[in-house]
Amino acid sequence: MRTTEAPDEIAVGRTCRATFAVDASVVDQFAQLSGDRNPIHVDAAEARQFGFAKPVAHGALLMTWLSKMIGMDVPGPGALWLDQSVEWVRPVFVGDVIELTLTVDQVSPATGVLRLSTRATNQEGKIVMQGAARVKRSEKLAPSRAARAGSLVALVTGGSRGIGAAIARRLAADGMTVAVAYRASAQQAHALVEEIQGRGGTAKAFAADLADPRSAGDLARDVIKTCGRLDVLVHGATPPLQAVKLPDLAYRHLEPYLSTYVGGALALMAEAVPGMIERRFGRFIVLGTAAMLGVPPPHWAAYLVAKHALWGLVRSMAAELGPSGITSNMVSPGMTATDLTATIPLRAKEVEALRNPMRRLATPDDTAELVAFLASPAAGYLNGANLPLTGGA
Amino acid sequence: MTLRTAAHPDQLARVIAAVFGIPADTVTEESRPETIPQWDSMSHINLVLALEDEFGVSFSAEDMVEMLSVRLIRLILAERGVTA
Amino acid sequence: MDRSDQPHSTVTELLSAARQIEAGAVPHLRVVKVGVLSTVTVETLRPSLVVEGAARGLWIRPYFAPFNQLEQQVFDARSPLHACEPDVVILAMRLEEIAPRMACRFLALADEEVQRELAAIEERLTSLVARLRRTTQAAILVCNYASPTCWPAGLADASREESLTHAVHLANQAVARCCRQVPGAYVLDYARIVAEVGLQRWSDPKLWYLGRIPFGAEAQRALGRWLARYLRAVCVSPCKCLVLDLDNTLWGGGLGEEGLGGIALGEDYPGNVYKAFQRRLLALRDEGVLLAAASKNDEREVRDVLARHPDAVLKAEHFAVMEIGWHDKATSLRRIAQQLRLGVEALAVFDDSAVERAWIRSQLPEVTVIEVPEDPLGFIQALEDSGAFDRLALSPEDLTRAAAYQQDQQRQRVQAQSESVEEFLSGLEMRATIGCLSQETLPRVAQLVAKTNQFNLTSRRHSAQAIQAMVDAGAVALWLRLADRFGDNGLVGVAIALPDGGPWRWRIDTFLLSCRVIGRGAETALLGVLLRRLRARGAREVLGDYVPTGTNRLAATFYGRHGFADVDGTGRSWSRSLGAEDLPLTAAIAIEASDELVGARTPDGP
Repeated sequence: MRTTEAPDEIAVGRTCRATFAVDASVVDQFAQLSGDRNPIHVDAAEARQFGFAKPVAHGALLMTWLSKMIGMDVPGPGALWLDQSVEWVRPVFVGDVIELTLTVDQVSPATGVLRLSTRATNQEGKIVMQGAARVKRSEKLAPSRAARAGSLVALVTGGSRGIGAAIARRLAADGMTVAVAYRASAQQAHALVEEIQGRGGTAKAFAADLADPRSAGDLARDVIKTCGRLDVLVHGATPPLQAVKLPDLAYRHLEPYLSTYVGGALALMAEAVPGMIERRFGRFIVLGTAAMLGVPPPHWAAYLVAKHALWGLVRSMAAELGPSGITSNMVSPGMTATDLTATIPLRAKEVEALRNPMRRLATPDDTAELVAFLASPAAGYLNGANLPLTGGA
Repeated sequence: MTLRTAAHPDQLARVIAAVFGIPADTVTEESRPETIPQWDSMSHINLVLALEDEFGVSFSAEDMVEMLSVRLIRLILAERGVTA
Repeated sequence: MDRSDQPHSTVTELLSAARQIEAGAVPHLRVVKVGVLSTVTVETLRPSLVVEGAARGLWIRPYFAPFNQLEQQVFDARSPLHACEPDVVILAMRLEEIAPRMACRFLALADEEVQRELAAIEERLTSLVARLRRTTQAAILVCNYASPTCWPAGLADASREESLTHAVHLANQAVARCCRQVPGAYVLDYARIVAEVGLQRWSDPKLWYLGRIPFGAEAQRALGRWLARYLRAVCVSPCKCLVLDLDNTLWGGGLGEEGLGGIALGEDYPGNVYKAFQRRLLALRDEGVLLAAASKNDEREVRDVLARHPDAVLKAEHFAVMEIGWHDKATSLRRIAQQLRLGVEALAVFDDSAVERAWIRSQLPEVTVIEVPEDPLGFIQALEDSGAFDRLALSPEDLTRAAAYQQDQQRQRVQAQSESVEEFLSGLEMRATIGCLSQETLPRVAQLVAKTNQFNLTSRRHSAQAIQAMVDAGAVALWLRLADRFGDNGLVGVAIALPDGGPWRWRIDTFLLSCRVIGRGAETALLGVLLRRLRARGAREVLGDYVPTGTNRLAATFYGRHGFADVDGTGRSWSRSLGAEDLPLTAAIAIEASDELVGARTPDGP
């Protein structure tokens, strides 16, 4: 059987042809299925008695093949067969080879209804059936134009180490192409890329300084050029944490954080959003911190100011970009054992762990799992949220 | 008074086992009040006093509150010069 | 001697030992149920208490009420405290909790306010103790107050007339007063225990702030030890006599080898150590403990030392008995006990020789063998720590006991010289005083009821509280005091009778006489006065029981000899009707009835 490829749009004049062989076994099966054991269909001797040279196939067999073509090809899945007129012009005998043709005569975009003419001819080219059909085509309620995760491209900033690296691994394991952005840790970034590729994933490392808007913009453009698109942006890059007591805090202390978190996000967003709007799919996921929730630890004001600013950006993006199918969210993990917390004494970490309801600190994988969900097509309704990943503390 | 002493890895476990009345081989680094039913607020105090007595050290109130697991106890002892 | 040198168990050993004792693994312990009410957390004392109790032969089963539940437990008859039916209740209150302003803001209070606070805590205590007395038969131990740690006026505090120290002292006097007024209530000298350990070493701040526990590890051990001593004193009578070795105990060196001039006893070291010990022993005698000597020595030489050595504090007359000779110590002890008419379990031994101590332990396990250290500098402390003479109340008899025994020896000498019993008795010039039970006489009466074995008709061991309860319910309880020309024997007889089904019939529940005065007719005098008293209360028939115990055969014929009839032929049940006839008297004893009985005197009375 031959089928023609059906593109998404159906135009008037489109045809669909298929050929079916009328075997005795097919007729037998139909007789079984329908219960119609009229001897003319199944018994050669009887058929002759009624004046037919050979057993005659059920006319309804042609209808079943028509059902297949309408339901699978034109218009295809979602089709609803509204009505059909049919004239069986000549008998179809066991042993015949029938060619069925559908032609789209009329398309009504408003109602989604197609008018089709249906015709069947046998191996001698003689018409055995002709008729007309009306078929309604329905669309899925939510247009899931997004391709499967396997074809998505994700950019992970701060992706060479710690939580970022865990996220990169996890997204790659889900089948995404992962762009790993690093500022200075080239060796770690390339080692990570090799590791991912060694596991069968797709990844590439890109250098950029996210505090510099030009560098950030270049990064996004490079990724789009190299990977073809940019669907998921995970922004976790951070300057090292520095404790500054409040009376001593000045604006200049805030700058590295603000420019990396907020400035970096803005520059990347500017480049990535147009493509996302076109494809009606996008994911912005930024890293916050559990320190934003509840009483903040002392001396971290600069860091917190910038994370809160970033949160404000996330909420605005969620509201403005949501209609285009782009979700924006923040993930705020609790204390995680990474370079960032390396200077915190082991005892303090252990106490924090044991005071946690889950009796442990967060691991980078905990955050990676949540980010992977947010990045997936399945999380299409989760928008504008700051999700605490704290173990309940 | 016992002199400050280097603890064998299982000396701590033995003291803990003796305080709670459980077999020493059931005490692991992860052991904590949730995993040992005999470890309640009263026996916690006995544990602190037993550790002070056994290792010849003196704990602060904060130490006492932060002794949430065997691993933490070992860390806190290490800060007092008792190596395990 | 630094006590920390003594071997002590580690905390883990203590906890393990306590676990075993509480699981019942240690045999032959006497169960004591204790209820503890406190204003702070005391649960942590449990292991020390249990272990120290076991070391003293007790299986202490404590119930610790949740902290600050005093009135709730005492005033609710169905509280857990009452439900556990304690033998002893301990009340532990601290000034810091019950009078916080006085304890911590003393200088902010005017003198009248201080007085008011003191009155308030006294009233609270009185109410708790009185209520406890009504709802339980338990002995009540009331902790007094240690000085709070804050020093209101710093260095100037002690010079002030109205200082916190003075207020605490007044508060403690009130505690003692309250206990004296209630039978079976005694002070637990918490202040002294804290002083012994030291106020600074007492608490561990982290335990207070994290657990409301005011005692550190060392304090908990000390409290365990002391509480166990108090609890033992509730259950077990103290030893009555301390038997002392002489050589290297009362003086340094052996008398036989060194001679009078060579033994160490004097104002210089090491003689002064022994002299101090002798002084301490003399003070022990003042407390009512009899001293005896058991030594392998020449008797004449010993008497010589005691009489002539210029630094001998103890003299021959201070010893109730002296067994100087060549018997083995166990035999000496038996002879001493016999002479003093005591059981061997009433003896304690202080002997510097470990070999002798081991011998005595093996031969006479009931004797309390005091653990004596090598260094005589530790003798006094060892004596204190032994707890052999611990008792909760001192009676007047205790204070005169030693002298009384001395007098007894004089009587015995006279008896030996008399030609007949009648001559001896009339020569004694005996005077008996008989009176009704009162607050002052109750402790001694209870003591006699607890310990008299030989002339005791029923051997019912009522506690002080129980006796008081019987009297409150209408019993007649009489005591007899006997004096003669040699001295006063003190209170030596007790009789208690209860109505039996109606005012016309009474039963004698308790009738006893100290064995010291048996055979002089005092029992007849006591019975006579008792029967008169009962007759005045409406009795027409009096019943008496004889309960044989193995040691009281002496009393089997008593009722029979005084006009009682054997009801069923068993000799256990006696009865006598009381008409208007004469009641027994003794010629040789002049009877004086105390004031309350005056009204009951009949024409044929004295």
